[in-house]
Amino acid sequence: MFSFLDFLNQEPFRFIVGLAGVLFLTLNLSAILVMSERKTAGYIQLRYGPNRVGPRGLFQPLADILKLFTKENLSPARADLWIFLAAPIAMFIPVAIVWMTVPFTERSVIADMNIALLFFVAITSIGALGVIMAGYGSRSTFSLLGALRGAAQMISYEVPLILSLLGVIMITGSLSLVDVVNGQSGGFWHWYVWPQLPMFLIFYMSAIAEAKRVPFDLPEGESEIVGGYMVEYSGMTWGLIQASEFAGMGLMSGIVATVFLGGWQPPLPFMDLGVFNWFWFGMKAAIIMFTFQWIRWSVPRLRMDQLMDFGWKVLVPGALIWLFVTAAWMAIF
Amino acid sequence: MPQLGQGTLKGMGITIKHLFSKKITRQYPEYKRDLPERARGMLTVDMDRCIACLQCMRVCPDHCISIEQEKRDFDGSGKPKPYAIGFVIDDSRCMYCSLCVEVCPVNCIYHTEEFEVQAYNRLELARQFGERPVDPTIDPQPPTKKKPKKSAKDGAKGEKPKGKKAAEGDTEKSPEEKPGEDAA
Repeated sequence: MFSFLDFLNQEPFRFIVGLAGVLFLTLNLSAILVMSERKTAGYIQLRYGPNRVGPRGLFQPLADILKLFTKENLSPARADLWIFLAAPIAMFIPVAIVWMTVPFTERSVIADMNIALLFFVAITSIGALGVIMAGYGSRSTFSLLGALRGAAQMISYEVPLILSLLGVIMITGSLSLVDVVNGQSGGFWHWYVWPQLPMFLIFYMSAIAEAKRVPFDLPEGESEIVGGYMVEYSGMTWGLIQASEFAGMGLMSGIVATVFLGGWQPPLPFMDLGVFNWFWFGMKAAIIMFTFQWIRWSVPRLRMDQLMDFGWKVLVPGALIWLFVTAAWMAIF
Repeated sequence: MPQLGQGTLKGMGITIKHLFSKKITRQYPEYKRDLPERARGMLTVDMDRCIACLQCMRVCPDHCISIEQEKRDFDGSGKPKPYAIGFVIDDSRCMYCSLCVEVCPVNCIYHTEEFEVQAYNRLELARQFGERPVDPTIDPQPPTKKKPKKSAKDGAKGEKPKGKKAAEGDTEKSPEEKPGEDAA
């Protein structure tokens, strides 16, 4: 029997539907994450956060987006207009594309590539290009300074990010994210977070730095360089930059959940929900996202040299050492 | 090394405690707390007591008070006294310094407990008191120490040249205006 779902499962349709779904998810996710960020910030600071628009302030993202759409889209008079306008897109598209490789369950993954992790690493590094474009295109000193800081940070933390994935790749023997998750089947004691705990921590910290969040939010240090690379942006271009940042944060938590916390695998074997295993994936990603927000509202910002020192002198050697340990452990057993 | 990250963990423990503790937010429009005893709200004027001495107008650093006055003979004593027929306080300029309150000899200008000053148009913030509205857009020029108005009758010599000039001006214009008026 040929159903409508089977029709959608044909390769080109599958891809288009998947892409539309991913765009839908990314944009909504960023709107929801802005809301949850503000609520978390409020609750941590003994406030309520947004609570005026709709029941308990739940329509606040909608109001935010409407407001952003009504604002004028300004650009500096001497800006390099095409680069200026292309920068938010260059930051948003990679984040949206990488979502295609994230497996929600074994079957609900748009592109089960056998190079998914490589794809993830390659595409997320395009984000640095977007930051540079935004800073250069603005023709503003603060923007350029923030962009260069951002690029230095993102490229520096790309190295431990990749190195910390290598341990998992060595254990799994595959770059496919579905294989990685399948390798963690069973209870929570099979998750890669236990044998790879240092790698998990390194990946976690690098992911925060890649998402440009406190304590690694040097690209937009308000106290030193105003708004960083996005000083000159307003209206929906600014909104798109914010959306890509929040979606990137969601993406990073999704990747952490997939690679180290067993993806869609339930924490205990009898908790298997079958088709609804995306619930476990969502729960894990949400918890990681909450810890991102928790850290953001607890920890002060690092200084630039401290940031670089931490990246190159702690995370990279740590990742290399644990890579060595993993290799030795695999060679012995 | 054993102390590594302990400060961060301690701080994060505090924030997670705050996350679940009682919030101290007071929802403003629904809940209004009592103002302190000497709170400075919007200014208001008791026009019955005002003696049009113009002290508040002179002392105001922002020129937010303008008074239009007139001499009226209240008690039939034949000595007209100044009377404020128009009194405007421009709240868009007022900075709540309270100087006018301190300087007023009859305590007719004072702060209320009202502090929610907002409007869509800046001119809506100019609050009028008295019989006749005063144009709040004109920057009120406090009269100089010479008090030309009060001493108008005493210093008639000083007044006359102005009057002459004005009269001359009138006479000069009048030939031109009169035909126009006639024609109209």
